[in-house]
Amino acid sequence: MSETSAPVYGTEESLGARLNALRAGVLGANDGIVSVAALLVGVVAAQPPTGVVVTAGVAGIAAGALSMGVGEYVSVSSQRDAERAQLERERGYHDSHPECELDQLARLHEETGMSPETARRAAEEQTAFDPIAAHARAHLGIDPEDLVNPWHAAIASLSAFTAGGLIPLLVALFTPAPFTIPATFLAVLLSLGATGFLSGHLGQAQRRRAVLRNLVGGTLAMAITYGIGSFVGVHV
Amino acid sequence: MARDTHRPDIFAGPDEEAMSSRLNWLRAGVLGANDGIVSIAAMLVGVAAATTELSVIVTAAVAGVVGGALSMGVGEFVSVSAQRDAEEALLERERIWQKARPAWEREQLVRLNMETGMTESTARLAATEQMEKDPIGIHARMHLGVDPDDLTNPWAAGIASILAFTVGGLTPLLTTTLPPAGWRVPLTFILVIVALAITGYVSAVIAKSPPSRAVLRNIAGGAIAMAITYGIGSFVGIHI
Repeated sequence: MSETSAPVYGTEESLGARLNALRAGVLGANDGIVSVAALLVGVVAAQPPTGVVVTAGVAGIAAGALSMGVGEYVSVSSQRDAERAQLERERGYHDSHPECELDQLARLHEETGMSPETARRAAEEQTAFDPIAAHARAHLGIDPEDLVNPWHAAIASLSAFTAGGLIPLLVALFTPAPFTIPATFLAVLLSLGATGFLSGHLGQAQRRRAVLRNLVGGTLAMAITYGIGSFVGVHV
Repeated sequence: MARDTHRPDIFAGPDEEAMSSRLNWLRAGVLGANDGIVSIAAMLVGVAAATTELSVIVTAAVAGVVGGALSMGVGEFVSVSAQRDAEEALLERERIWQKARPAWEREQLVRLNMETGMTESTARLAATEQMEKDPIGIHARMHLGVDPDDLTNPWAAGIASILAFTVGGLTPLLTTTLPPAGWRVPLTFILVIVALAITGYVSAVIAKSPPSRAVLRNIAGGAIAMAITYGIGSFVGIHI
């Protein structure tokens, strides 16, 4: 039976890592759009020469993308450390009391619906094959081959931030003087919507909800940063 | 002894809980705390270099912390929601496939069981028994890596991010207001390193993982982020 209709994630391995990269990408893209736009609006308000706008935009994108990438790497690494530590402890338990571990695995299988005899046999067979992976999957909810990947998260974040930040930069560069700031705001809204749409598409989830959420969230973030900054007269 | 409320006791060993729901807010917290420390410190160093007026510094700090924490929280909420949506979509498709091609799904479960080490006969028997009880759940766990009872939580990520950013972001306020004027900027740099180390340590405690690695990584990461932002900003003469 051929399965040409099976969707992308149907039988994928490393799904967990991909979902994390999706999250990092959405965060990076939104942040890129909103923060670079906010930066440029401040720069453009003084009506500087084009070179200044380009420099500010490129600097903002470079600094933002790199520091977000570093932030993702560090934070997802803690998540991975936690997973690895659990696997390590599991190895320890297995070495020190294998019989208990076998019982536990059998009980966990019974909970998923297996009869006691089947559960016992399954546990024994799995323990002979790869006991740590069996335990990790059964009660830690971790697949040892699908730990979160800090590099993927960092790269997703960096790339998405860059792509997101380029949009307000290009709009600010190519929109003539009186229209520049309103055009930038409009570009922010449209690109937040597009990012939402894309994230919904990549997650194969409801696009309309993703679009609305991205629009509201991104606009809120921009309003907060800009509003508070203006209110106190400080570039936040 | 705390237990994850979704699963019965037998799912946890002596001191493990099903950590998967914990892990996402750990990540959000580390990101928030580091970002709070680094970005607020960078901003306050700029402000403190320009003025010694406490009220200006405090106002800038509060504005920066509130603005940063809320916008990070929103960012986390939106991005983790995208992740959660993807997980829910996978579950929904699983439901559809179960209805549309039950025999194929059973064979898939048999294959997945065999991949974990079961013999074919055990795998087949297990698949039959498991699918009688909870076909969606077992498939979701086995090949989607998604636990229907423990989907990623955008609220937890958002709140963790806001709280962590706030705590991290308020620490540079100490070194830019309390010490005498000339000391403020250098002490802030030192404090950033110390605060990053503490965040690293706390994250390792939560993760129950080796602390020294987390501490070093946090310091290095935060210092790099600060150097990048500050360096590029100075180089082009713009406050980024």
